[in-house]
Amino acid sequence: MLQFMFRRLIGAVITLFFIITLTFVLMSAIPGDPFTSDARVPEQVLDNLRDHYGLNDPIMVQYFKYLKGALFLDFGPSIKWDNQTVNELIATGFPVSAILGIQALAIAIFFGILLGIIAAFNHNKSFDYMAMIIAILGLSVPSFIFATILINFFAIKLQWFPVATWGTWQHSILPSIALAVAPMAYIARLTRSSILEVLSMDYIQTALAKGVTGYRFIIVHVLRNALIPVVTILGPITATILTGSFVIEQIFGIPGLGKYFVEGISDRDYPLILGTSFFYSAILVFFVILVDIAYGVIDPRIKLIKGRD
Amino acid sequence: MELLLDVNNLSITFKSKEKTVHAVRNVSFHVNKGEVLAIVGESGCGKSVTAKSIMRLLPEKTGRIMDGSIMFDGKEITTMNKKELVKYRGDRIGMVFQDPMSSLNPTMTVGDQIAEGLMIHKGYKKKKAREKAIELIRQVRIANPVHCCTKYPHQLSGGMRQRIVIAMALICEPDLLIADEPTTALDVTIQAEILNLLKELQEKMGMAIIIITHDLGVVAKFSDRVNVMYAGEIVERGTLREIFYHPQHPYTLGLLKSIPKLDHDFCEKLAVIEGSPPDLSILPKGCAFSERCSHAMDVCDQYHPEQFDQSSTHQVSCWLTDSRASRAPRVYSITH
Repeated sequence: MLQFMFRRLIGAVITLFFIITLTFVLMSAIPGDPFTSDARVPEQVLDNLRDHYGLNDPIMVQYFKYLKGALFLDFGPSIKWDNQTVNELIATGFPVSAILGIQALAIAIFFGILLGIIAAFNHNKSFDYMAMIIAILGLSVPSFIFATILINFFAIKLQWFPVATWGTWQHSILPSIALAVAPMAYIARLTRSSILEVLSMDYIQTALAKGVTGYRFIIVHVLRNALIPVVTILGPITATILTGSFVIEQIFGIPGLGKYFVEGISDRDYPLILGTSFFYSAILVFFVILVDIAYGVIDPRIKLIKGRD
Repeated sequence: MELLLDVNNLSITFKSKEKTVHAVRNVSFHVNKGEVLAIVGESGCGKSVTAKSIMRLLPEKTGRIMDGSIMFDGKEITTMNKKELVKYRGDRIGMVFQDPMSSLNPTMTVGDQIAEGLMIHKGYKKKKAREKAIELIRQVRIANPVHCCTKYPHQLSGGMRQRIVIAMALICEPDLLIADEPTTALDVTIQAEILNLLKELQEKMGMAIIIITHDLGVVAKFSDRVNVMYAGEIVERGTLREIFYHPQHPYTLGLLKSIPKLDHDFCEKLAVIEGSPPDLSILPKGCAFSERCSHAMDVCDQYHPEQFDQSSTHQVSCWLTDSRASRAPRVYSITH
């Protein structure tokens, strides 16, 4: 296990290195800089500003400065947000995004699996078709359209929830649902097809021949096996939720990390872009490792300890 | 002899959009307590379907018992509701499947899989059930049962897995064990070991066994009576001696002749039954075997053969055994 963790940690560091390098290259390729604006500012002032933030340094120097920052997890001050470092911005934005993301993930997993189970056990009956139509809709309708519908219906017409912004728990419900819909639909479809496959297996016949029924049959014999592929996609699902939150946070006006990330790009706030993309990547890599570990726990055929048993 | 299982006029069909397949037609047989019945036939003759129907394990949507009754220990199985059925499955009737590679749950330890039956049917607590499971693993002759108990199926070899499957079927000490081609997926040396084990456990526990196979060697090894199935029907039934020494049906004879012999001349071809079984979605008018039968008479194509008694235990469905077919050569005389 330790050996596995160590190997994965090295892999993670290499992955992150490539991601931050690529981000830096792409960022440098965007024309303009943080001080490009419509306002007429004397050239001398702009130059002083660039000097101050080290933007007049040769590109390689900027790159190594930035690598050093990543190594010590210090990305320096933000350009747009006065007197605040990137680390401070992440520290304020992340808890909000985390609540949103975790709630969305929980909704997606719970209802996705539930929907999949019900659909599979009613295979080719009306509930199955209904669940799958919902799933296809959930997958194909973009989250911002869904968010708008939710706001219009539940916040404006029914007034059950606040329209936007952040604060109380009620504020978090609509954005969490909007964020969860696509991954939920994906999980539901996968759970359904995976259960149907498991149900056709010989060991299910064995279980039935033993007289296994009800809860024990569904949980121990069917779900335990059917959820293995579902666990594998939780990594990519987390990515979907992370990137999905950029849009959702904008729509609902939530002061989360995604908002800083998107605004950082339009402002060309270089330290903020680099810091947030590094942070997002780190979370994603962490989740992928977590999923790998979970995979080994749920499927005894996969041994993490020594490669092969 | 006390009657344990009595199957009467069982007919099973499989429906799909295009056609209806009459997989089992008018099959009757019985099993007494403590005896071994073999059901023999080639692939697709309906032997596995018959076995599964006793457990009511046919696919619910397509497979249907159209007619007939299955009485187990005086209770009708075909009309049972799910709740009653579950009490029989695993407790009174155990089942061993063909392929031990796929018939064990990959995410459960084998100990838990064996113990599960006791927890469901006898209300045992996990610890006690596990102790009994270990005891049974020892009885199916796996070395170090305590260690084996905690293993997952993928960590065991094919032969060991089949022993586990057998232990699983026997944990509740059923009255009847249905073994659906228990040795087909195993290599020959392991086959013999598994058969010996089954035989030994049968003698020890005194249960009845229905063994489904296409391997006459397996039949000869330990069955008391034999049913030969062809195209969804039982064409001949009798005691082991009657079937092996006095086969009356040309199909039975063909099966027996096609067994390779040790003193076989290797330049000679193995005996085969020419042709292939009929399509069971179109019911044959006469005898289903007539097309492939070298002794076929005109009557065989036109009329379904009746069942003729050779002795109280030996019945054949073949026109050749009709007294009116006296001029036709008797099949068993051809053997000698």
